[in-house]
Formats: sequence, C-alpha cells, structure tokens
Amino acid sequence: MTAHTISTGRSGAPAPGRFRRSLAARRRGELWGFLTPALVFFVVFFLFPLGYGVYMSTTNFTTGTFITGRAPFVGTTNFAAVLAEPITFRALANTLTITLVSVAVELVLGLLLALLFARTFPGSRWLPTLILLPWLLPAVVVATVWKSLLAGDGPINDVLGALGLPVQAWLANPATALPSVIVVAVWASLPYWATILGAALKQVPAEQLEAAQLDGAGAWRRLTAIVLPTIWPVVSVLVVMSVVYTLLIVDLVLVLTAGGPANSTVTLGLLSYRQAFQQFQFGLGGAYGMLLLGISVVFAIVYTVMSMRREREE
Amino acid sequence: MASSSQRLRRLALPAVGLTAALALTACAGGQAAPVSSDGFQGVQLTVWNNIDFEPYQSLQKGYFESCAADLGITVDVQTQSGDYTTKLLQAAGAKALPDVAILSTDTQLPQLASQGVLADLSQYDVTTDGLADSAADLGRYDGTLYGLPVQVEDYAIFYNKAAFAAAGVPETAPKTFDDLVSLAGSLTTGSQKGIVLPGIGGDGSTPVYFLPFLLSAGGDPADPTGAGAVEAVDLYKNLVGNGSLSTEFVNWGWESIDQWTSGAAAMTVSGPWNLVDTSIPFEWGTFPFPTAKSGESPKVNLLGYAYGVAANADAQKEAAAAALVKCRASEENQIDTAVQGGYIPALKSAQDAFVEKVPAAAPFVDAVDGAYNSAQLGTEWNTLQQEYVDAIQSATVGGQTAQAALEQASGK
Repeated sequence: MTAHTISTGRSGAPAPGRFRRSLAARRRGELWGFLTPALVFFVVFFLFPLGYGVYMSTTNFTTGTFITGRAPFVGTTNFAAVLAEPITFRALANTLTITLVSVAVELVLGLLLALLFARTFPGSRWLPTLILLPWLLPAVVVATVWKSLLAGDGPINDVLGALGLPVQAWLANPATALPSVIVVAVWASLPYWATILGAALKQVPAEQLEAAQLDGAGAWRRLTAIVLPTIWPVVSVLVVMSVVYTLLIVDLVLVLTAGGPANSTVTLGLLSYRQAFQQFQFGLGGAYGMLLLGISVVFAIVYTVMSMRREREE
Repeated sequence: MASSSQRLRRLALPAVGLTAALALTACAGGQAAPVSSDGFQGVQLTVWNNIDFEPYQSLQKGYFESCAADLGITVDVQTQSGDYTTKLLQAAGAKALPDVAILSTDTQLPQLASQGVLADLSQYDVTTDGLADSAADLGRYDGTLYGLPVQVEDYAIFYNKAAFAAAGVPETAPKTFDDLVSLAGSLTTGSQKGIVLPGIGGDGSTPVYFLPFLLSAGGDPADPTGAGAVEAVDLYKNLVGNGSLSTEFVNWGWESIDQWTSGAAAMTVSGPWNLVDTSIPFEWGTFPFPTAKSGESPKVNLLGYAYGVAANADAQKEAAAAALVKCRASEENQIDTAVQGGYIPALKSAQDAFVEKVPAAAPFVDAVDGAYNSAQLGTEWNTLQQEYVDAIQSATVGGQTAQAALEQASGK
C-alpha cells in the first residue's frame, strides 16, 4: 500500500481504498460523537432515575440507607403494603377523576377559546398572548393565589354573595374540595390547550370552509365535518400528553389542600410524596411512584401508537 | 421572629423519626480522655448555629466570642442556613463536624448521638444541675448527656384582651375542655371566631399544637385510639360544632396565627416566640392549656435546643469545646436569649427571671416540669402525625365521631 501511495506521486495522501474506509469510519465516529451526549443525557437523567425508582420500590429504603448504603431487598412487600391501604384506592379514584374531568373540560373550553381567537375582533391579536400568562406561572404560585381566592372570605365568595348565590369554604368542605382542585387544574392548563389548538386551527384549509359555507353547511356542520377531522391528530396527542401530565399532579394539591380535608383530595402522587418526604419511607414512596408509572405507561403506549399511525397516514 | 421559629420547626419536625433509622448506624466515635480545663490557649474551635434570625444570631456570636476570650480560645461562630439536619449528617459522615453545634433535641441530637460522633459531656465539668428533669432529659440519649439544653419550647393559649372586653368575658383561664368550648363560643361574633388552630397536614403544625390537648386529656401520643386522643379530637369537633373554630382551619397550617393577629380570632395556640413579638397590634395575654376533666394538671410537649460537642481525638480540643458550652449556657446568657429571642430558658433560675421580665411567659415555664419529650416516639411519630391530622379533619368537617375518625385514621 505504501508502494501504491508512492506511485501516485501524491506524497502523504492515503490510498483511495483506505480513504473510503476511513471516511466511513469517520462518519460512524461523527455519528457516535453526536449521539453520545444524547445517550449519556438519556441514561443519566431518564434511565438512571427510573431504574433507581424501581430499585427503591423493591427495598426497605429509609433515611438510614443514606448513611449505611444498606437497603434490604423486600421484593413486592412495598406494593402489597400500599395496595392493602384503603387510602390507595381513594387516591386512585381521585387521581383518575381529576385527570379525566379536567382533560375533558380543557378540551372543550380550549377548543372554544381557540375558535374564538381564530376570529378577528378588537384585541384578537394580543389576547391569546395574555391568556398564556397562567400557564407561565409555577403551580405553587397558582395554588397559593387560588387558595386565597377560594377562601371563605375570599373574592369568589364575595362575588357569589353579591349575586345572591350560596357561598362556602370551598377547600374546607370534603364535597367541594375535589371539584375546586379540578377548577384550578383546568385554569392552569387551559392556556396551553387554547394555544396549541389555535395553532392547529390555522392548518384548516380556508377554501374548504368557504366552499362548505357556500354549499350551505352551518357552523356546527363545518366544525364536525371539516375542522375537527383536520385537527384531530393534534387533539389526540394533546389529550394523551395532558392525561399523563395530570396523572402526576402533586404540587397543586399539596398547596391547596395537602390532600385534605379528610383525604378528599388525596392523589397517588401526593401519597408518594407523603411516604417519601414526610414519613421517610422511600420504599413505599417508590411503590406509589411505580403504580403511577404503570398507569402513565399505558397512556404513553396509546400516544406512541397514535403517533406511529399518524406518521403512516402522512 | 415567629416566622423564623416556625420555619425551623417545619424543617425539624417532619424529620423526628429519622432517629430510630439512624440508630442502626451507630458506630464508635473517638473518645478523648478528659484533660484539665486549664491551658486552652491557642485552641481554635468552630461553632455552628442554625437559628438565623436577629437578634438571636448576633447574641450567640457575642456569647461564644466572650466565653472564648475568657478561656483563651479562638472561636469561629458560623450560622448555617438551609437544611441543617442534612448538613450535620453530611459533616458527621465526612468526619468534619464542628467542635460545637446547636442541636434540636427531637431529631438532630439523637441522630448524631446514635452514630457515636458526640462527646459524653458528663466526663467534663458540664452538668444539668438547675434544669428540670424534663429539660435535662432532652440532652440525653440512652442515658448519656450528649447535649446541654440551653433553651426549650413549649406552647400555651394566647388571647386578645380587647376581644374579651368586647364580649364582656373575664380574662380567666378555662379549666376544662368544656370551659374552653364555652369561652370560645362567647367570644365568637359575626366577624371574629373564638379560636383558631392549625388543621392542615404536611407542615407539622397541626400535630404539634394538638399534642398539648391530647396530653392534657391524659392521653398517650403513641395510642391514637386511646381515651385522651378521643377527648382531644372531640374538643376540636365541639369547637367547630359551636362555630367558634372556622371549618377552614383544615386548610391552615403555621400561618393560622395570622387569623389571630389580624383580629379574626380571639384566641390561638402558639409558641414562646410570640412572647417577644412586638408586631402584634393589640394587648394580649396567655393561658395554660385546659384539661379534659377539672382538677387535673395540663401537660405539654417539649422541644429543646442543646449544644453538643463533637467527639474528638484531640482531648484538649474536646475539653475546650465542653468548657465553651458550659460558659455559653450561663444563666445570664439564657435570660438574655429568652428576653430578646423568645425562647424559654432551660435553667429554672433563668426561667424565674424570664417570668419576672415577661409575666406572660408563666404558663410556658409552669408547664416545663413534667413535660413530654416527643423524641421518645421515634419514627412512629411520622406516621402518627398524619393519622392525627386525618382524624381531626374527618371528625370536624367529615362528620365522623372522634372515636370513629381516630379508628379509621389509624387503621384500628
């Protein structure tokens, strides 16, 4: 090979065959070079915490473990313990109620807002930006503000009282605390829905809507026959993502009610937090986390299947 | 000041139960042989405090520097903010504990003592003479004195004098739970509740203020379905029932005192930091806790702050640190801290002097003798706290009887 190189008269230049191989190798090297940071990030920030959570849920992991490093393996004992607690099923019911009701309401109200902002009216340019503000606020701030709004002597009761409607301490009554939490969750997420659906509505072909209108289709018919089918892929993904996001609700409930009164607003995420950071039973906290993970994975699978189907359709 | 004390409590209380877990991790620490208290010249010591509000912070620095000068020691007094318990544990793990550190007696002292990283103070000229047994016990772990308590915290009922005058009610302490319910009822108006108490879960406020009622009913905090617990929960239920405690108390934690300071409630329960709080905009007084039945003595839970000395292979350094703690714990310093910082002194003589200067401190001081040390509950307290919160909420706004609520909450 050396002789061949010399014979070309191009001193120091590699042979063509070798050049091709080294280019391929270099390309592979470059690919791995670009891929490695992403892989390291994925392993360190996703796989490791996930694996550690699974590990914790199968051990008797307490504060002593931090000093001694000893966490005896207990198999499924933690799962059996959390499933034997009646509060687990109450939390499961509350979590599913908050998730399903708030996502359904967010879908309807978000679509209505998006349709409103699709029209031209005074303020239609800056109003969509303005209503994004609640979504930009941290959940703790949202919950603190709403806690004072919903207080017995808060502004909401002042308005209701002025209108002659019944008033009460919304977060102190076990019957109204959960609906109140849902209202706050909807308020916090609605701007996100309205913004994404607003962007999706821009994809709806104006010519089709005009043609349908000329053919005598009413607003409802245009919505159901043209608008919804066009934005459906976005809606379906948004629903799945919101379901997974809402399932994990902790901070909002923690500040609003801390799961009370009388555990009427307790969620699976909150029970995980309680076990880990108030009772220092990290194993039990991990078990609650794994329950949530299991439910979320089901929705994640739905999301993946939907995404793949949409890609195929496109 | 109140907020600082409350913040410290928020950090400390949920961690009460770490003790037993860490007890498993006990290991032998370097024990130094006692040396003469003379000849501390040139010794350099580090002191950690975590109570970071003024004037407390400056006072501590002053005490230690003055004592160090007397003993010929050089001292570096540092105030640690943030999660102090974790910092102590990390320092212990790295064998880098400060020579002297303030320790909460419910969590930090037992945690460090169980790891064998604290020096036995009784081998030096440090004693608990002059302390009530209940206060002295706060500094002990397994019978050994690992920390010298310099200040304690317990609780009492605070009342707004103007509210009593407006209702035409004499400022007489309620003797029994029934008296308290009836007094709170008399003080309730359209714009003012008779009493406010915390009732939310998670921040530790509810169980801490509930324990004096449970203990004063003869209850055992470790027995959530006992008669004392039932009577105490029933008291909350009756207070809500007669409209003198807002149902919204289930949403309030440490901040519930704002209802009292704003005039929305006539009475509340609080700690000694309120005794020196000059921001309260009205004249107020204090009552001891009532008991379930007349003729019994009230009982409260007691939290202490003690100075511990790190076990050190350098005997001279360890002895110097012990001498520094002894000097810091002087009666004069304890009175000064109480009057300016709002703590109950650990020394009985200092307590008497404090009551002379601040008469409203009397119910706090009277209750120290025979008070309950909740550190003895260990990790169990973490679970019990949530059970008591659940029971109080279920009985008051959930419509259950006190007995049923406690049985359900504790799963018994």
